[in-house]
Amino acid sequence: MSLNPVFRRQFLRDLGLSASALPFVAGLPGLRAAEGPAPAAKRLVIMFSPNGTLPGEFWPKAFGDGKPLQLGSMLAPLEPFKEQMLMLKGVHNRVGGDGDQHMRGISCLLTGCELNPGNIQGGSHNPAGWARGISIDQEIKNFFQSRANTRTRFGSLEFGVAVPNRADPWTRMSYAGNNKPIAPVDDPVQMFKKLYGGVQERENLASVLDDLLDDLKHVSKRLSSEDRLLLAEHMQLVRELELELASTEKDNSLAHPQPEIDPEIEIVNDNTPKVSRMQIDMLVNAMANDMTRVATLQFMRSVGQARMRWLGIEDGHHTLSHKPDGDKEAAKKLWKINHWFAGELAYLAKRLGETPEPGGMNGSMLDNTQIVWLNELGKGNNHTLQNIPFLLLGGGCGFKAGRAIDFKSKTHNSLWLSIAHGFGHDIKTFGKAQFCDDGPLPLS
Amino acid sequence: MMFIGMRFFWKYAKAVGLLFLGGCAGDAASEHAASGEHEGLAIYREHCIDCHGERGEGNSIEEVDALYGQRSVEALARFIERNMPEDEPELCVGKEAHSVAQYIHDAFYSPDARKRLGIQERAKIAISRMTGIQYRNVIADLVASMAPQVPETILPAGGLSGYYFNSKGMNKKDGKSVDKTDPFLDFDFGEKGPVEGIKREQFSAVWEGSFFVRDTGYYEFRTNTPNGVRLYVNTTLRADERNYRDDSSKASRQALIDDWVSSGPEVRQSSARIFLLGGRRYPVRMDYFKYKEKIGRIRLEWKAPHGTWRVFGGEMVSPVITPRIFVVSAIFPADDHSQGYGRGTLVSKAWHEGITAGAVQTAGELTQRLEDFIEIGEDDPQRKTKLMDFCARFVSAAFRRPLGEKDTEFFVGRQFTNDGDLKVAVKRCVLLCLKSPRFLYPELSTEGERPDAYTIASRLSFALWDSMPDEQLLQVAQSGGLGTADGVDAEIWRMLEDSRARAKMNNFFEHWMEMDGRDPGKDRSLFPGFSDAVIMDLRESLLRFVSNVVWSERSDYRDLLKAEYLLLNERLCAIYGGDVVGTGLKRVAVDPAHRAGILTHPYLLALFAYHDNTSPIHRGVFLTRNILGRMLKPPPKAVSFNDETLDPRLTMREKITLITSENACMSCHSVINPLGFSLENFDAIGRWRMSEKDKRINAKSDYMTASGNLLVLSGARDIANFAAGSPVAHGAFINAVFNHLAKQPIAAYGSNSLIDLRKGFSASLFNIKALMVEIVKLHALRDCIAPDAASPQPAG
Repeated sequence: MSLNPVFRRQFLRDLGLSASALPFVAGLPGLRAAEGPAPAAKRLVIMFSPNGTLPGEFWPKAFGDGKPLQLGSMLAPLEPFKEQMLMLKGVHNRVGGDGDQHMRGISCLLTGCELNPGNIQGGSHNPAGWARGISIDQEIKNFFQSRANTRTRFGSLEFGVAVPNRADPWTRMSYAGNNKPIAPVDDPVQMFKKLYGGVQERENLASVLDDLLDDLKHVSKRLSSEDRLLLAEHMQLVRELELELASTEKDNSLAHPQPEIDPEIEIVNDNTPKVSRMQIDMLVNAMANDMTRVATLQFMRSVGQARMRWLGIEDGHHTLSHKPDGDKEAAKKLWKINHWFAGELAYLAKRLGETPEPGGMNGSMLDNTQIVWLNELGKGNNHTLQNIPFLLLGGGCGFKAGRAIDFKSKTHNSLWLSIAHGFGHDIKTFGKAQFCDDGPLPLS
Repeated sequence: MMFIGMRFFWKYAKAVGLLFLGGCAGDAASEHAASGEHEGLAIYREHCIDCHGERGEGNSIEEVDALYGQRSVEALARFIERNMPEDEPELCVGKEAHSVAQYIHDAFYSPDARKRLGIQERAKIAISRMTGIQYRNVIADLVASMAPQVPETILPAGGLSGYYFNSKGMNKKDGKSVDKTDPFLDFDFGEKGPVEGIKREQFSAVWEGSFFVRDTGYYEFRTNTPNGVRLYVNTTLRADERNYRDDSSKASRQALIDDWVSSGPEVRQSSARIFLLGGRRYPVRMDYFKYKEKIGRIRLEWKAPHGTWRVFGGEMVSPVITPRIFVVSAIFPADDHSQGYGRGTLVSKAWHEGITAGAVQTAGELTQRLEDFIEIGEDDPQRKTKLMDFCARFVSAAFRRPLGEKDTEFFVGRQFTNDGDLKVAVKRCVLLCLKSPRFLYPELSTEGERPDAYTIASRLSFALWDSMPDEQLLQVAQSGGLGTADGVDAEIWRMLEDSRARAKMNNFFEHWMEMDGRDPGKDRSLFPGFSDAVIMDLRESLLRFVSNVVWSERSDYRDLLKAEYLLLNERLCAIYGGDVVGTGLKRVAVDPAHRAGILTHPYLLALFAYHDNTSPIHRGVFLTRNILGRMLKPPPKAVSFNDETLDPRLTMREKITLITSENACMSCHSVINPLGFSLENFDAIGRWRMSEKDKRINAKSDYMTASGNLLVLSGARDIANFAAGSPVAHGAFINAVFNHLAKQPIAAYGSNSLIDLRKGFSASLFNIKALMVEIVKLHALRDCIAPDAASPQPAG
């Protein structure tokens, strides 16, 4: 069901709370998209999908400058964005130490550093704990938040899609620091509340106020004149609430109205496609309203066993990813799965591309948003951390797009240095320093 | 600098109606006697009327209270002679004092006089919404009442159920389990297995059960382990969900603490807090696992309001799980306390925000956990009907009475007319219901109508539990069981056994003994042993003592004052004497010549003391007002107790005597000081002492009672004995209990209410439970012309 249309137009203030408690008070960063032709906001979105890719389907045939990017059928949904894409081969996750490949695959992916010794046992290697350092999204967030002109209300938002409710190194990629994993929010209703402050409840509440006033009047009639005075005061409070709800709607409208969210969506496997689109819609809206300039979008988790029935697949994703190369049946299914992820990325890019930057001077939001799609493994059935499928899309960092580069053998720490520098954050190392010897990847 | 701090006396000065007269002189009297006027009127007009008003109505500007009361002419005369006019009491004595007393008494002071004058009692029943605590209690009980009822059983106490499992491979449970009860959650398994039959390298354990809390407030929890741990507090626990080793896929169940992933060998500490309502029991579960780490160790600690960190377990903990209790976390403003007790006579914006947030939270709780309340599936063809029935049941429970057809249509039917999501309809219904005055006001009586049985049921439950009626009470109401005084009596006695009644009385004593909002802490360099842990134990000792007295068979008020023992444990014995071993509180006999009940309980002695010394004034004021029930006026001038400016060789008694020696001070301090001085044998943390600054303590003093008798006090026991036999003291206690239970002024229940209650109290040998029964009965049957008239009348 969607929002009651009578109240949809209203952007109502937090339930019964005074205006000062409102998240969107004028003056706070994130209230409106910036006005006037200020330089466009630069943004970072990192999208994760698990269990490795099909390398033969993913990587293009030709690499290097001057070679037009040619996408295989698995990535066909991304065809319209080819000119804004940059595919990076030969970039490896070199982080060793405790934890199996899946754990290090996801928990060292954005951190570029080792895991602490711990008690979580994978299918091989020693058990391990959380990552030892900050992830690149949080690094950029801290950088943005440290400066007045890039500071936003949330700094970063972590979206999840079908992430199981568990906290372990297979399930976290964002870290605020050593031993500080950040849980993605995989319930769109919860995220909606965080962003827009419980609009459904306010609408429900507003919808009963007329009845409530009738009831108060009705009850009042039975009382003594003295007792009625207190009820009159009470009634006044209800009327005030009504007025506040209406006036804050006027004062606090967003530059981009909030998306419509099914308030009763069930967070179950089969609803994943719906949840994914809701999350992407909110991600784009939060960025359009400049509530944040950094976001992650995590599909499932490393070793995730999503059963993608909406694609006609009954097997668990992780099980499929273990099948040998010769298994045609499995390969077909994995193609469908990654094709679907590519489609979700395309949807994200499309939504950003459709949204002009404020003032219309700086192109679309996609022109200023660096999307990085990645995976914890290069390939599922051999658990390699080499040739992680890094696919960059959009224009946030000013990289030269429309091509694929094979770096043969570089660390992914170097990629994160490039990203940081692309946002003007000139750090010399990121993650484990010894993996930064080559400096940033030349992407411009 | 410390203030003597008597400003707060003001608010208590109004409660009983003692008198302070203005000027009074003899000359005027004879002059007017010849004119046929009452001799006393002339004196009154000349010297009293400016402050007290023509009919003794008082003067709000100078805070002179109305001159209404129930004393005899003789008692009035004695008082005037000693105290009036305020600064020069010697001006009006003997015959003049008696004459003006006679006039005052007959003209307007006595109940008869006021009746004749048609002066209305000022006290009236004030329409009240629920107080903050009532709101939280009602929501908790209301939500619980929607779930299938579990028959109440007496739960075993003394620990949590512990289930131990071997595990293998990737943190997977290996099936084999050892079950036992663990009294405290503090384990150092070292390099061994936790119990026989469980291997040391990797294993897991689950502890679960429930725990009882006495106080309302934030409870903090803290885990300490180098291994993995998750803690669930007040979440719905199901036996079949026991031990998810590495997975908790139930999105509905959020861990309070999740520290499942270790970080090398370091012992990690994680903490979180949760708001809980006192007088209730909550489910708890802790999941733990060890994997290849060298050492296995886990400790769960908690900290109650007013408490310190201690290991979780013990007598408040039971191995049996209980249902989740929904606790509204909305913030409410403090309730009005201007009359000395919390009541719901004001509505404000902050309050409205609180109840709005509470309604929204409750709507969320009900719709999120629908399957806990009713059997219903997503595709149930009867879904709409079932949900409407559910809502009707909810509204009826919330309004505490059966719902008529019109109301059912208004509160339920109308909310379901739109073709939308049914859960949204449920939410609307809950919001409308919980914001309705029918829910928010315990009683909305129609003018001139007698209360029906459901109103009486609500009066009973709010008075005894600060909550709504339970199912049994409503059934009794429906079947006409509240139609007789005996029937009401029986219900009250049943309800007294409920833990909510204990919670409410516990709250009363905290308030009566002024434990809420004072800090008994002392200067650590002077009293190094008086640690937070000692303070926590003392608080527990005092409240446990009071509770033992109240809920014993005798339930004797006099035992509160006169008991010849303290409840102490090993830690307290080290300071106060005795030879108890261990942390449990046990009776320790005290020297009856030294100590007497709560009067010398170290917690109160410390509470009413400075941070570095005793305070005879704080102790004396407490005894005057709360124990002896006498009124005190605010101090005519603010004097600070500035220790540095006083001669350091003086004892505390000498200092107080010195700074309160002015006449203006002595009108009150002649009462306060003797009482305070008689406790000078107890130092600032309540230890017995014989000397101060090498001078022998002088605890003897002359105390003038309210009726003008001289009493020589030599210590606490003399005060206890006097209070235990003093009708004024009894009256003050009754009044305080009345206010706490009924949240209304006693005078609004008829001019003889207090006198009748006092007689009954005395006849019952001062049985506190019997007093509560009488108070609640009086409150519940107010305006029932004959108790037998109360019959069930559904509303609407």
